[in-house]
Amino acid sequence: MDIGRERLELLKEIMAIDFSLVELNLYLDTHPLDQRAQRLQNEYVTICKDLKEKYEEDYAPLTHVYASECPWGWIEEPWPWEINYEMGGI
Amino acid sequence: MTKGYVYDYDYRPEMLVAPHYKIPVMGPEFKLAKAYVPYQVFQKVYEPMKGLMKGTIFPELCRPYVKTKHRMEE
Repeated sequence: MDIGRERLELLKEIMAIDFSLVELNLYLDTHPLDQRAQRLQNEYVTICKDLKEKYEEDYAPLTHVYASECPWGWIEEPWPWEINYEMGGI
Repeated sequence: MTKGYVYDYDYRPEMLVAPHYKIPVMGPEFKLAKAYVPYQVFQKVYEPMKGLMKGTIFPELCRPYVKTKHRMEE
């Protein structure tokens, strides 16, 4: 399903930053005193929050933790596997 | 009856593994390998999209399989 180039780009950015946060999570588990890594993690958390907020405001819920108008927005949107990720974006 | 893994006197391979796994255990004359894991040091990281594409954000962990010409001799 084509969700539009701008929306797809934003979604991919969110996927990328989420992945970086998992990586930093694993690193920090074994290096809990690493200040540089912690700073980057904190920076990414802010970016990630902003991106997700923007996505949910402009497009659709990312999780079920979502205050929706009526009708319930969660089931109105394509499921992740229905999105065509090849059509554009980064 | 002894509990746990006993290597000396009455070494019996079947004591070392659960019998239903049937893992072939080599005798005590074979020395175990020594393994090591170097401690990772935070250096540069890839920016998020590059990291996602490479499968890691840490350049020191990025070891892609590169197709090389197979060398038969040597």
